[in-house]
Amino acid sequence: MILQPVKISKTPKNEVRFDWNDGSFSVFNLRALRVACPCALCVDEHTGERILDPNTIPEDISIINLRSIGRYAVGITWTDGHRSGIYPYRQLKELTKTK
Amino acid sequence: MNEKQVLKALEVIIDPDLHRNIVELGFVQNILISENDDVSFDLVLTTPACPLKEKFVVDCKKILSDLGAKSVSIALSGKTQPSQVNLSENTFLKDVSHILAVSSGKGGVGKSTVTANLAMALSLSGARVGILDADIYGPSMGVMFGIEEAPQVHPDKTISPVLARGGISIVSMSMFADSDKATIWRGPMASQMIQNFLHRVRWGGLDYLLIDFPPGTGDIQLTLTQSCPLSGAVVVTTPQEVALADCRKGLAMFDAVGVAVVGVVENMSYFICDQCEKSHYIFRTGGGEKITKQYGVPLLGKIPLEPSVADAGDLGAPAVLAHPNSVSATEFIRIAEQVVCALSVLSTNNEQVLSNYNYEWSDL
Repeated sequence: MILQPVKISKTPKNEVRFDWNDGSFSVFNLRALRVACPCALCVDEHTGERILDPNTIPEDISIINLRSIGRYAVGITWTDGHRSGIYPYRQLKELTKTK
Repeated sequence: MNEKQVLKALEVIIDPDLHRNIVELGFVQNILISENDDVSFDLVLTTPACPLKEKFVVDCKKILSDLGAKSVSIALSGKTQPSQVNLSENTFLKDVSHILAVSSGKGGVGKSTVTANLAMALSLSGARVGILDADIYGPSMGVMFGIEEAPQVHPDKTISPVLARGGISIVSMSMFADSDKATIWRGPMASQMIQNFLHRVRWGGLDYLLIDFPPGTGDIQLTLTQSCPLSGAVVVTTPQEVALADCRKGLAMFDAVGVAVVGVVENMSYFICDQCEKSHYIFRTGGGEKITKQYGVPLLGKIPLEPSVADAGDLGAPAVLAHPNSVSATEFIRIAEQVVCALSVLSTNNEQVLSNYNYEWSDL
């Protein structure tokens, strides 16, 4: 089965929650999700090394907009103006597994 | 040294894709010049993945050093402008029930022939069908349907598709460019063109929109899978081992972007002689079956080589319409039925799933 969200919501603690079509769900602290941005500005395309310095991300960072990218990912626009991050659903679920 | 001099000097650097200089494009921002002529500025590119970013930096540094700057420090970033078309603004795709990708790992396997005939078979079965010929480097839908007119472009830059044989709405790159000239574009230009095609065509209500993908697994293919909610994909291959190797890559790409592969179509499976009507297996057999066994995707059908059918494509009428009783046409119709069936199953299974959304955080 292809992993896709059935619901995206905001938790009372101002976290973002994804309910997946396999019955599981993932909850993310907004700042942690911004720091985990996988885009080419935040992570070196070739080495996979993190370019983004987490200290530059404000504590109170929030989301402006969430949009679908094809069938496999969510694109997020952040209050710091960053909008190039494409988070594949599979990667989001992996993130919650390890943390 | 002052800001004006710096800007003037940097005007010689031209972005080869946009054909304008980097100052005019607004890439150069926040220039700071110290008393000792240490220059620093931000270079804000249109995309963080700009393949030319290193070259821009080297060129800027050289030019400013020649101008007399003691040191040059450049901060690279790639903020895309918020005024750009939002990728999720699939306004004209809202009334399209199913979007089907027709793809191949390798060129020359007859992907466009399959697209044209599938579309025709679907249309003859009563569905409203459209074709987006996204093979921008080698568009062929114009020839396959014998279209000579250009689609109407409205003042708001939206496009009305051309209504072709069988009531199929078609938009193809071939309608906008001289067919004798090659399309020579870098990735970013090509991707932008594709997005225009996707988001600016007034498809109206369609049951099926078939997208004829360019062969391979590259930039444009990725843009296509990201820019619209594909319902499924059909991968076309030929029986030879080389084609099958590329077919596997095609399957892997759709897997990576979360698009279900409806099945594989094996084209040029065998040759039906127009004299003895015997089937000749020119290439090795069993390739399509091997793929389906290995990857668990169904083999939707095998299309033979039939001279009359090949002619039909070149003469501007797909075989399903021109030779409805040929072996190929029968097979295409059978494949179309399976596609219809598989897409309905997929959409039922995905009924609960969010496939095309655009949420404001404040509304959640």
